[in-house]
Amino acid sequence: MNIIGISAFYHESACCLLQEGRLIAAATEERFSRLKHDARLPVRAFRYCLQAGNIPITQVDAIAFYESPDKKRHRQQTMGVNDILREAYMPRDTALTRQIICDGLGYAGPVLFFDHHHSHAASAFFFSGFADAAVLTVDGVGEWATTSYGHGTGADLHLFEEVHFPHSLGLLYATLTAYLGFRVNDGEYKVMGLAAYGRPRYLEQMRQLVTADKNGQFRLNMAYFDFVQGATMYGDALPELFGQPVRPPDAPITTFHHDIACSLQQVLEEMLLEKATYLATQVDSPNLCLAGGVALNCVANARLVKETPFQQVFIQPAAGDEGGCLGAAALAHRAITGSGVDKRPLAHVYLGPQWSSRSIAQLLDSAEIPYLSFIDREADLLAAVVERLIAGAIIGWFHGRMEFGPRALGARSILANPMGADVREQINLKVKRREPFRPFAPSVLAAEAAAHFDLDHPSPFMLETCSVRSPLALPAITHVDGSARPQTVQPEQSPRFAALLTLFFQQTGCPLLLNTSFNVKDDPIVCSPVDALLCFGKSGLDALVLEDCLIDRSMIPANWSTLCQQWAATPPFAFKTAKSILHDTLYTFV
Amino acid sequence: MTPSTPLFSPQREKAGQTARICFLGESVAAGYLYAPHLTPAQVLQTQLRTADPDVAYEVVDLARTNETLAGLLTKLRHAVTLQPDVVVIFAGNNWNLLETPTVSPYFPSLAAKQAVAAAIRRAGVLGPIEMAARTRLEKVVATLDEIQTIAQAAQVAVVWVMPEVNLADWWSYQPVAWLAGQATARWYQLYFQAEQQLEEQAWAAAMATAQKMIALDGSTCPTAYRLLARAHMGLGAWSAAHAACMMELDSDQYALLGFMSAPRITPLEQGVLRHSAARHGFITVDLPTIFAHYTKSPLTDRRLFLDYCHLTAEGMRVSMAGVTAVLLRLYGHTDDRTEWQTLLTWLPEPARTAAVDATAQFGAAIHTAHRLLGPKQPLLQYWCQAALASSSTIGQTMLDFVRARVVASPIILTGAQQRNLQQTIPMGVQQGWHYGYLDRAMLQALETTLVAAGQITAAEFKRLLLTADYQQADLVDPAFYHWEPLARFYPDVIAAAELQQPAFYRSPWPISSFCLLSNGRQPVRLALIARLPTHPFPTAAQAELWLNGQRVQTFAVNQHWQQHSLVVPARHMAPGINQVEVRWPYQALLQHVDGMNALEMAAARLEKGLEAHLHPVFGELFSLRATQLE
Repeated sequence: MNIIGISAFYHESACCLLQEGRLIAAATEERFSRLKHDARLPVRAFRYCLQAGNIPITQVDAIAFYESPDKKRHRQQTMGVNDILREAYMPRDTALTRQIICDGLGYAGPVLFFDHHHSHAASAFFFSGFADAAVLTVDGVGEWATTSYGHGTGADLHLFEEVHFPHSLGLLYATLTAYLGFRVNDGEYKVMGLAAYGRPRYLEQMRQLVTADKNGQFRLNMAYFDFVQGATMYGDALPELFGQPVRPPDAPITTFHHDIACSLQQVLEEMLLEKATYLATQVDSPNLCLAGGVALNCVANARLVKETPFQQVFIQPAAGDEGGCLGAAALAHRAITGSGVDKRPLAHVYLGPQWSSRSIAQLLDSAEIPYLSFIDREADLLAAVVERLIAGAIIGWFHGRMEFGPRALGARSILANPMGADVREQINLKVKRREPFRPFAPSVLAAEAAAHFDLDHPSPFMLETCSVRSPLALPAITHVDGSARPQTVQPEQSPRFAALLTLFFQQTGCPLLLNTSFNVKDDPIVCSPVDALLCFGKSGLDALVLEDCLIDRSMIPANWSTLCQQWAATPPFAFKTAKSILHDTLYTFV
Repeated sequence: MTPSTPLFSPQREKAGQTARICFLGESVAAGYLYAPHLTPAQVLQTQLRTADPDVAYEVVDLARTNETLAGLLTKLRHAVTLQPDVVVIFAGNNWNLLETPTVSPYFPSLAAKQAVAAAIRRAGVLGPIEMAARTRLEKVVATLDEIQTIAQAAQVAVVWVMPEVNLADWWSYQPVAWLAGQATARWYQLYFQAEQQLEEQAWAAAMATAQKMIALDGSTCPTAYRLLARAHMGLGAWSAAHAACMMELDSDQYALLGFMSAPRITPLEQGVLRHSAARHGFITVDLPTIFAHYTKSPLTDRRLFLDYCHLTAEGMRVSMAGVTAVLLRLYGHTDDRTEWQTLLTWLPEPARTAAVDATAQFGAAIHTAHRLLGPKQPLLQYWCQAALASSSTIGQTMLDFVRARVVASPIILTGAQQRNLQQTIPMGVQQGWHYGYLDRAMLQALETTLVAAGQITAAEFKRLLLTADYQQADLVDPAFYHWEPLARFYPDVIAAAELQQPAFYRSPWPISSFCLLSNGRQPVRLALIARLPTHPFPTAAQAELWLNGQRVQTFAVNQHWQQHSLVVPARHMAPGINQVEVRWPYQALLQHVDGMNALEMAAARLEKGLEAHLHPVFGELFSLRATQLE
C-alpha cells in the first residue's frame, strides 16, 4: 500500500510517502525548487518520494490531501475577498483541487481529503509512539478551525472540540509579527527571539486582544484586527492601543518592540497553558501530542512540557503546514486498510534525499573542484573537522538524508565551536546575515545534555527551550535570558554526527556544537551537493564537508563568492526567482 | 513630467560645444552578444566623430536588454534631464513577446485565464490572437504618443530606428492550434509531407503543400509560412520568400505559443510604428529598406545578424550609418555625408579585437542552439567556424564549454569557468555560457568544427564528453532536453511563482528529443513510463522509440501510465552523443478529435482557472531512464 501525503497551496508545500503504513520519505518542495516558501503543488518532492520508495507512479494507491477544500472555500467566501485576490485567485472546491492535483502529478487514482486540523493532529499522534494521548493543534487557520482538541487511542483519533476563525492564536501572533515590522509566515521566529530582550510591560493591552473563554475556547477582539480587506493584518486600532505606529521593516528595533514581543509571548504562553490544562481534564492520558504552526514556538513548548499535567509530550517536528501531509497520509492509510500506521515513534526526520560520497567525489572531480578525500576514512574526516572547529572555523556539514521540517539536525547544518566569544557575530557576518538578536541553537550529545542544560528528557528535534546551566561559557548558543534550544543527539539516530560531537568532546571537554541551518538569509536550506557548494561559495563558511569530501575555503578560487552571488541573482532558470503576484500579508484568505 | 529621482547621478552637465544624443532601445540597441566591447552606441559615436570631427558628439548609451514600452518611457523621462539634442530609439522587437503576457492560457491569474476563455468562445483561436494584437498595438500607439509629448516638452528631436530581423536563417516553428473538425490531423500530415518534399528539393510540391496548410490554419501559425518561404528560396523566388517570411512573423503569436519564440518585430507593428512616427514628426531610420539596399536582397541573413535580431559588427556599422546620416542632417549638414550609402564607402570598420568577434560569434552559436526552432546544425557550425576563424584561441574556450556542459554542476563552480575568466574577453551570461544543459546540437557542432580545425581528435573529444557520470540518467530531467526549443514547452519557461509545473514531461510536438551520453561499449537499458494526455484523445495507439535515427521499439500507449523497457545493444550506441526520440502517434490520436470540441474543453478549463493548451499535446513521459549495463 503506497500512499502519498500532500500539503500544498498555502505555506511551504510538502510530500511524503507511506509504504505499508511506514513513513519512507518526506520533503518540502522549496528544497528542490529553491524558491523559499514554495507553496505550489510539490511536484519535485513527489518525484523524490517515488524514487525513495523505489516505485513508479503506477504503484501509487492513493493520494491524501491535508485540507478539505469545500470547507475552506466556505470560510473564504464567508469572510470575503479583497480586490487583489479577486483578480488572481478563485477559491477552490474539492473537485477543482482534485483536478489540479491529478493534472499536476499525472495521477488518476483516488484522492482523499482530510480536515486541516485532523491532518495536524494525526501527524502528531500517529507518529508519537503513544498508545493513547491527548492531542492539541494550534495554528493560524485551516478550514474554520484554528485550534483543536482531540484524543487518540490506538488507530483512532477523535477531535472533540474546535476554536473557529477568526479567533486564532496563530493569527494573533502573526498580526503582532506584522505590527513589529516582520514578514508574516516568516518572522514569527524573530518575534519569539526578540521576546527574551523585553519585559512584559504591555500585558494589559495585549490581554485586550485575546481573552479566554470557557472550555477550550478563546476570543480575539476583532476591533484590533483586519485579516482580509486591508493590506495588513492589523486594524487601525492596534497601533493606537500600544501608542506606537507600525514599525517599518528597516526601522531600528527599540525597547518598545522588545516589550511588545515579550508581552505577546507571555500572553500566548498563558493561553496555551490554560487550554492544555483544560485538555488534560478532558482526556485521561499522561501523554500530549502537539502540532500546528504554533507548536513551533519552542519557548511555549518548554512551559507546556513543564507546567501541564502531562508526563510526556510529543511535538511533531514538522509541526507547520508542511507536516500536515504526514497526518493526511496516516488518515488515508487508516481509511483504506482499516488499520493504523506503524506506531513506532518517529525517531528521526532524516527523510529526504541523500548522495553517496562517490557520486560527490565524481562531481567534484569532473568540475575540477579541489577537495580532500576521506572516503572510507571516517575517523580521519572527523579529526580534520574537529581540528578546524577548535581553530574557530565555521563549517557547512552535509551528511546523509536531508531533514524534514524547519530544523537542521546534523544532516544539512552549519556547525561551529559554541565556546568562541564572537562566534555568533562571525556566523551572522559571514553566513546568515540575520538579525543580531536571534540566538543560535546547540546540538549536544544526549548523554551529556543534563550536565549543560536544564533538560531531563531527550529533545531530538530542537523544539523546546531550556536553561543553560553549563560549567562552560557558551555565549554563542545562550540566549539573552540564559536559555537555549538544544538538539540532543543519539548515536543510534545520527551516528556520524554523534561521533563528531564525541570527538569534539574528547578534545575540548565540550560535548556540544553550535548548529544552525545550512542556508543563507532568504534561501531554503540546502538539499543537494550543488546547493551546498553554491551556499558555500556565496557565504563566508570556512570549510564545507560533503559526506567524505572536505573543502577548505583556501582551496577554492577567491572569486567564488562573487560568482555564486551573481548566480543567485541571475540563475539560468528565471523561474526560480520569480516573485509572487500575491501580497505577502494577505494571510488568511488562502 | 520630470522624474523626481534621476537615473543618472550626478547629472552630467553638457559642455558648450557638445552634441549630445541619448540612445535608447532593446537588446539589439544594447549590442547583445557583443556588449560591452562593441555596441551600436559606440559605433554611432565613432561614426559621428569621424564624419564630423569639428563637433564633440557624445552618445549616451541607455539601451538595455528586455526593454519594454513602459521601460522606454521611464528611460526617456530621465534621458531628457541630460539635455540631449536628439533621442535615438531603437526598439520594436520585444513588443510581440513582452507586452501582452496576460493574454495567454498559461498566465497564472484567474482573470487572465477567464479572459482568454471568453475570447476563444467569441472567435475561436482568433479570439486571443486579436485580443493580444489589439492590446499590444494600443500600448504601442499610446507609448509613442507619450514619447512625443515628453520630447516636445523637452524640445528634443526623436529618431526612431525601425528594426529589421533575420529572415533567411531564422525559423519560427509552432504547433498549430486546434483546427475545426479533423483539420488538425490533416495539417500535421501535410507538415511532414512538406518537410519530405523540401528534403527532396521538390520545391513546387512543397509550396503547394504549405499553402494547403495555410488554408487549413487560417494564418494562425507561422510554421506553414516558413515551409513556404523555404520552398520559394529553393526556387530562388526571393521576393515571394520575403512575403512568406513577413507572414511568418505576423503569424507568430504570443497567445498561442507552444514553444519559446524569438523576439522579432512583426510587419503589423512596423506599419503602426511608421504611421505613428510620421504623425508625431519622428525621423525614421528604416533598417528593412537600408539592409535590403545594402545586401541587394530582400532576405536578410547571418551576414548582418548573429541570430534572430541581434546585429553582427557589420550589421551595427550599416545600421548606425543610417542613423549617422540622419543625425548629420539634423545637425545642419547638407552634403553627401547625409547619405548612408556614401558614408559606408569610407567610414572605418568598427574597432574591436579578434577576441571580441570570436566571443560574440561563439555566443551566437550557443544562443542559436537554444533558440532556433528548426534544424540548426548548419548555422551552429557556421558560427563556430566563424569564431575559430576570428581567433583560434576561442578553441580552448570551446573545449572548456564541453567540459562544463557534461558536469552536473553550475558552470561557475568549474575549472572551465576559471579558465574562461582568464580570457581577454570571457564568455558570459549573454552568450549562454552559464546554462546547465547537455545541449546536443551545440556539442555536435563543436565536435565537427573542432575536429575539422585540428583542435582535438574525434577520440579525444569523445573522451571529454565522458568525463562526467553518465551511467544512469532520467532523460526527462530538463538538463537533457531543455536546450532544444522544439522539446521545451513554453509554459515551463514562464517566470511566475504561481505557475504550476507538472511532475512529468509533456510533448507539444509529435516528436520528443533527448540527449544521451554513452561510451558506446556497453548496452543501455531504456525504461520509460509513458501515456497519452487524459483529454481529448479517446484512443490507444502505438508510439515509437528511436535511437540515432533508427527505430528501436514500438510500444503501446493509452491514457494510463505504462512501463516499457528495452535493452539497446552496444552496437547501436554511438560513443559520445546519442539522440533518443519518442515519436508519438499523432495521426492515430488526432483523427478522432474534433478541434472545436478540444478548444471548447480548453475554454471550459480556463474558465475554472485551470491551465489549458490551445494545441494538441501528443504524449507524456513520467520518466525515460537510461542505464548503462555491464
